[in-house]
Amino acid sequence: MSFTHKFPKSAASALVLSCLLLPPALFAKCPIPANGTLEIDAAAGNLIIDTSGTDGVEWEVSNKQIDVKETCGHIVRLVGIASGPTIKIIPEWHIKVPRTVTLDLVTRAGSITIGNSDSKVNARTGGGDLSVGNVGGETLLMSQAGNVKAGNIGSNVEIRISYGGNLLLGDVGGDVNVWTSAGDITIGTARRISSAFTGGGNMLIRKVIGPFSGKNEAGSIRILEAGSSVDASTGSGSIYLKMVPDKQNGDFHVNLKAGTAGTGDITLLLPSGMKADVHATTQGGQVYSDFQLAPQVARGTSGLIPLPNPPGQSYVSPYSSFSTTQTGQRNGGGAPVRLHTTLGKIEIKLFN
Amino acid sequence: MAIMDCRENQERIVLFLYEELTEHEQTELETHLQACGVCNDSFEQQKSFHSALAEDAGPWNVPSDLLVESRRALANELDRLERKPWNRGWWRLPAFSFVVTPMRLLEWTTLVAVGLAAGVYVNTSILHPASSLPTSLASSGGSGSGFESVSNLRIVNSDATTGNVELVGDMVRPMHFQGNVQDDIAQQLLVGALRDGRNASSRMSAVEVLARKPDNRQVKEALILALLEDDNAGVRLKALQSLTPFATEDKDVQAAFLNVLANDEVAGIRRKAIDALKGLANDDSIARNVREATKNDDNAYIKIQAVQFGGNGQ
Repeated sequence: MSFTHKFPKSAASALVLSCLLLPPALFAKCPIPANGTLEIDAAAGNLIIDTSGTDGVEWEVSNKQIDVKETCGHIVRLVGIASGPTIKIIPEWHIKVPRTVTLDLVTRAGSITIGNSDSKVNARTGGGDLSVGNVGGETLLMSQAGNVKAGNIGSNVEIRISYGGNLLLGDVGGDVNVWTSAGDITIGTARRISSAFTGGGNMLIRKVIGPFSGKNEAGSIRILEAGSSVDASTGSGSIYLKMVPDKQNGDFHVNLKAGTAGTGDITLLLPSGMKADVHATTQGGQVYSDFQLAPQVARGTSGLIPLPNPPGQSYVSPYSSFSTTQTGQRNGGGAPVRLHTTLGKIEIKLFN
Repeated sequence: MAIMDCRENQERIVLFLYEELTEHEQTELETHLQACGVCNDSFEQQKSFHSALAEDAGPWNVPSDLLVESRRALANELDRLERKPWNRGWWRLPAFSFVVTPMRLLEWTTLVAVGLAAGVYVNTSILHPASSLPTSLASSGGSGSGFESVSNLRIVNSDATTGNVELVGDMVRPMHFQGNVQDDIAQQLLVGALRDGRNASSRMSAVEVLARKPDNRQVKEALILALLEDDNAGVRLKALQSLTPFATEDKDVQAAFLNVLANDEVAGIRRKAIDALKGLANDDSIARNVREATKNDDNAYIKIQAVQFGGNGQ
């Protein structure tokens, strides 16, 4: 009986093909405790971190341009140094670790990709994208030039893109501190956003439960839901904010400045039962409101007048080429709401 | 309460009543008024005076030559002072006086009121727009509310003797357009917005919309211009992203990306440019230009990527 009858050619081909398609075998190098730390310092390389490991750190670097020195222990340290004067192709580092291990990763050039992690993640690249799955611990991600994308973060997160790139972040259980010199910022639901800054791009926040503080030098800020104090400003660009506080008379404030160096509209949605002291100033635009406001200083003009359609439902300030400040209280007054735009309109809407 | 505080804050009261203070100055003044009875009394007096002026503002008929006459009188007075400097030192001029009296306050109030009234009169009487929106806009779904404001005002000529002035500025009028991004008018508006040097957000929005149709030649040129010349890195980044699909085919886009590699100060944009050109690493001309553009680049990622541009010969 020939071999070919027992082992068909198609099966042999499939075996060969599957061997070729399998990821390269990683060398089991160092055992690591569940609460250990993996440190990588790479002269260059795309770091690909697979967090499905069990009790050790396995690694492989795709070419010989990098000499890797390994230190084992509670902290496993991999240091990659260029073996020659020039690195011609950015090598790929394939690393497998347990997801409970703290990650502290640096590459001078290249992207970093990390799966889900239950521990702290600290990843920095001199140039390249950063892509991180869900992380349970505190997270610090830095890229000098590249996009940063992260899933849900269970704790505080800080992201910094020094020289331009977009930033996409899922839900965050802690404090958010993000900065990019240029690019969009998109964040899901965050417990608190202490600082969000972009030098140019669009900022979109789905929901922030605690306070928000953010600035966009060129582009819009959209906060679809905010539960507490909001301090937002744009150099030029519009601001959209919907307030959804837990308590209608809570201890918080709203301070929106649109177009401090250009133009920008403000759209603010307030719950109809919220107690607020509203102070809206526009220099060269109009104030629209679902409730009556009065000019701060009478100049022979009336306050807001009803819009024709729908009659009596909304109001608008008379047009003026001067600065117009309209003030008013909702439900007897409460949270200070200060709105300011240099050249743009202000809309205040109520919802139930 | 320091005298200097009171003097400065009393000067600000008039500006406050005309809502000409910044928000910060306004807050400072309000804080001071709460703490200083003297200034608060002064504020109440001026507020009453201001309200009286405001109530009577309607029937006032400002003479058409008021501004010219005022300036002429001011010029004559300045000439007279210059001819007799020994009679009244510069420190005696009202603007430099540290003495605050009710009469001085009244003088200040009157001067500011007359000045603002004249300004309003000029604003509503003699401005003519240098140009208007495209006439076809109205027939293509666009509309203006009729409210206009002046932006970027410059004084071209000013004759203190005659009071004649020549002003240049931009008339800003609210508009609303609804149509297809392929329409000529839509593209004119968007390309025009890209040239709005004072409003990066407007340029950003224009790039975002134009990026949906970057294969149009006019649109592509506008995006290239934004990529190369916009002051704001965010606008340049968006322009580059919208042009990236054309980097391997379009010579103009390639040239623009090479320019970015050589000149853009933001490493994130240079990095995206070199990534976009990767497909042309074997093209001798592109490879040579990439190596030349990046030879002094300090970013490690870009330096390594540049090595891969060997051309066919390497």
